[in-house]
Amino acid sequence: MGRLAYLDNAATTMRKPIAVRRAVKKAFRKCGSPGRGGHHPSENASEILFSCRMLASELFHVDSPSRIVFTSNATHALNIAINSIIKTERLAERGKDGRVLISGYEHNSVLRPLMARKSEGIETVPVMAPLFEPEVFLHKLEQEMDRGAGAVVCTHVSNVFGYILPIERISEMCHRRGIPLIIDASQSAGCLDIDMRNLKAARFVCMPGHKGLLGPQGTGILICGSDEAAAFMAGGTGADSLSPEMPDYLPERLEAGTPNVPGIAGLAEGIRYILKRGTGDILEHERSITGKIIEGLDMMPRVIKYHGRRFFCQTGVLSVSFRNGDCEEAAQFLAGKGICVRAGMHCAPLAHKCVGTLATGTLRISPSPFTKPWEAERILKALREWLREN
Amino acid sequence: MTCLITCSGLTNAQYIKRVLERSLIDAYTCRLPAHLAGGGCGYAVKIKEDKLQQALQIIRKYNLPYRNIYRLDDGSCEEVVVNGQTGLS
Repeated sequence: MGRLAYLDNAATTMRKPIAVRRAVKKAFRKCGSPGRGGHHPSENASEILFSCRMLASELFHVDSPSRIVFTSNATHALNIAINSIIKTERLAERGKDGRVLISGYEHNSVLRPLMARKSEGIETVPVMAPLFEPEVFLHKLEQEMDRGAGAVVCTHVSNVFGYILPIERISEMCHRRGIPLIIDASQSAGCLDIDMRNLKAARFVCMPGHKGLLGPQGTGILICGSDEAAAFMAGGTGADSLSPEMPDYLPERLEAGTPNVPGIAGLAEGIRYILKRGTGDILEHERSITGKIIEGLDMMPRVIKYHGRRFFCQTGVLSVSFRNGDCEEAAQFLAGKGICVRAGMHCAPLAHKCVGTLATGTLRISPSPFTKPWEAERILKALREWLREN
Repeated sequence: MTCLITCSGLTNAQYIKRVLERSLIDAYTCRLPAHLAGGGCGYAVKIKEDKLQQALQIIRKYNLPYRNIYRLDDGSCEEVVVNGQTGLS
C-alpha cells in the first residue's frame, strides 16, 4: 500500500511538526504536576503551560495569558462556554429574549450541549442559509435578532464544507446589540487569522489543539473575551486551597484538575510552527492542494462538488457527493487504497439540511500544511477507479 | 532584602515575572510561605527590594493584578504599604 495519503485533517492533523513529538516526549520525562509544588518537575510543567498561553495569546491577539484556558478538546471548551453564557446571562429566565441563535452549519458539539438544556427553558434557533452566501446568512441572522436573542453561537468555518462565515461582521452585529457571541473556531484556528481585537462581542472562542493548531489529541483552548465566566467543573487548582469554591480568577476558575501537560507541550510547538509559517501561507497551501483535486474532479461528471468560485468564503476543505454512488462506500474503497478521507454526516446534520445532502452525506477531503501534491494525485486516480467499478 | 508580590494564581504570577524580566528586572515565581497564604496555597513573584518601585511602575503601567507586597528580612516578614494602601488590586 505504501505511504498513506492522509486527507482527513479536518478531523485530526496526523502529521505534526517534529518539534511537537519531541516536546511531548520531553514533557513525559521532565514534568510533574503544574502549580502543585516548588520543585523542578512541577516548575517545568508550569513553565510549559505558561509558554503555551503566551504563544496562543500572540497568535490570537489576546491581551492577557490568563484568558487562555486549556481544555481537553473543542467540545469541552464549547460546553464550558455555553454553560457560562446560559448562567451569566440568565437565558432560561428571559423568554424570547433569551433565545440562542446558531448558524445552520453548527457541529453537534454546539447543537447537543444546547439541546441538553432545552428542559431548562433554553430555546435554540438555527439560522438556515445557503452555502457560500454570507449576505443571506447575515440578513437572516439580523431578522432573528430582531425577534429576540440572548446569545449567538456560530462556527467560523463549516467542518463539512469549509464555508467561512463572516465572523467579524457577525461579531459587529452582536456588539451593536449587546448580545454575547461564542465562536467555534475548530476549523479556522491555524489557517485563518483570528484577532480578538476585532471580535468585540466574542465572550468565548473555542478550538481544538489537534486540528489546525497541530498539537496532540486531548488538547483544546478556550479563549475568554472577558473575565466573566462561570465555572463548569470544580476541583483542585493548586491555589487558594482553603476555599471550598473555585477561584474567582482566570484561568484557574475554569481549569479544575491536572491538565494534559505533555499534550500542551506539543500544542505549544504546533502554535510556534504556525506563528513562524503564517496562517496565510498555510491557507494558500491547503487551497492549492484542493484546487488540484477540484481540477481533476472536473473530469468526473458523476462527482458533485460543493465549492465556491475561486475559494470564495472557503478554506481548503472540500465536500463531494456522487450521482448514483454512496459516499461511505467510496471512502471505504479509498481506505483500502491507503487514502484517508471522511464520509457521512461529519457530526453536523444541520449543515447537510442547509445544503440538501442529508440523505447522502458527503465525502470530505481536507488537506493540511504538510499535504503533498502526490496525495492529491493519488485520490484522483483512486476515485476514477472507483467510479469505473461502481 | 527581597520582596514578595503576591498574586491571584500561578498564571498571573508567571505573567508578572515575564513582564518584569522584559524590563531587565530579575524576578522569580515561588509558592507563598504558609503564614502568608491566607487562602491556602498561593503564588508570588520574588524580586530584590531595590527594584520594587520600578517593578510597581511597570505593574501599574500594564494593569497587572496582584494582591499584596511583603518585605522579607532575616526570617521576618512585613507588609509593604504603597501610596498609603495595601493589596492594591
